[in-house]
Amino acid sequence: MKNVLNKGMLIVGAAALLIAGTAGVFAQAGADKAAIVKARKDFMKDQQQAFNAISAFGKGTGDREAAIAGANKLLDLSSKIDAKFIDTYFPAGTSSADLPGQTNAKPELWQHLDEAKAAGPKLHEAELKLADVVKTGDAQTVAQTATATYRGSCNALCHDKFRLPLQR
Amino acid sequence: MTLLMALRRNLARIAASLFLLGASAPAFAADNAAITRGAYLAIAADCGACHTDKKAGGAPLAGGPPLKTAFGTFYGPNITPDKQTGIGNWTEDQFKRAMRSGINEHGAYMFPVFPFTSFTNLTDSDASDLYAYLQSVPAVTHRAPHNDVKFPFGWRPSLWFWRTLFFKEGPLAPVEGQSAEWNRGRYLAEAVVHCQECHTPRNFLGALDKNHAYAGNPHGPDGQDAPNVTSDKKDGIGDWKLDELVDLLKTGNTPDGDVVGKGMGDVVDGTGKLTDADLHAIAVYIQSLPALPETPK
Repeated sequence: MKNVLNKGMLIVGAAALLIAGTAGVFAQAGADKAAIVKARKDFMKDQQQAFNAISAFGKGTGDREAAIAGANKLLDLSSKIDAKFIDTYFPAGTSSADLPGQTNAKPELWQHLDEAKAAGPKLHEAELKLADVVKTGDAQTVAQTATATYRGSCNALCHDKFRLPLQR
Repeated sequence: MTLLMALRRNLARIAASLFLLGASAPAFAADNAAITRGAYLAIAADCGACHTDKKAGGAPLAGGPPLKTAFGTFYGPNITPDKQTGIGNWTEDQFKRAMRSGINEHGAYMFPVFPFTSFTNLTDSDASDLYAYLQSVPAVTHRAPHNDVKFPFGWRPSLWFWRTLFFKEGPLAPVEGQSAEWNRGRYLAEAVVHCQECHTPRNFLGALDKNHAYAGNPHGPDGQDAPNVTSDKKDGIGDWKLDELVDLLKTGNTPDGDVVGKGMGDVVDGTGKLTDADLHAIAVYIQSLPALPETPK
């Protein structure tokens, strides 16, 4: 009797552990996805902040030194956006369809991974030209170039196709 | 011989030349001021967005760009003054009838993908100025592709039903009690820049659902998701300052440092060239829109 009970308890215990372990794996995977989404959002925020330093100079509310630092930061960040970056920060299962309300990355990105992977170097090219203007251009030219770069690169290469509209 | 004597001697010839010059001139008098005003309106209305095939490197206003809708793919026609493929043979009355009544040069109903539903609110003089401007741009020979309309929506006479149910002809009467600036902003937004055509949801027959004006259209033209721009603080832009909205219309920059893309980017190409006073007026009007929740997907 004792043996049966012990064996039973062992089986139940093992089953419980297995269930807990499996749930744990799923929970961990969920936590991993959330961490990846946060990491890529933070990366985008870093780019945004760097860009804002340039816009501020363009609007007359910031100085050129900060704008130049922003331009250099943009170049540093975009140099990291290669194929491996896309694989790491946009793994399968992290689109707005998979994680509604948690991310603005549309499923379209995963349907056009090649395009997403090719975007980084093109963005970097455009930012080199922006950096030149930031170094010597007047505020109005810097403002216009910054907006044109955002529309022509950040938006045209990725946001227009792969990001949900703002305000959502 | 003095100049005066030469003029007198050649009076008959001079008179004949002037008569012939008058006879061969365009059917309307090219008024530069009207053309300039018309150009301003055309930029604000962004005619090029639908009538210039930018992707294919098409000539300005010569037609061709596709516009995908739930009812098929439509191609903006050539609106340069080319006589064979453009509107060079259109009278001013025919042009105004198209813009404000949605009826083409053959007397047939136009598909409301052409936003005559908004342009119907244009004033007579603005419609005249637009005509003057369009007749002055370089004429280009280019025929846009035929519309690819899904059955049964391609049968134009059926538009009579649509128009009876949904089309309210202009003009837009100013609202008493509102400032001149608010009324100007309303006129620009509703009649010229035609913001509702993207930002207001549509019913199953593609007509604007004016009960949810400006609440956003997740199934907008070309599959674009136009956001809620009412004064709702959560779903709209109710938490934006007036200057931020003016800045957006001028530059495309959003208050959080982003820049609008795609369709709104094209709009800003136009609105960015409006006067500060007109931009301020549009912003005043837009900020007054009643708060509405986001249109569900």
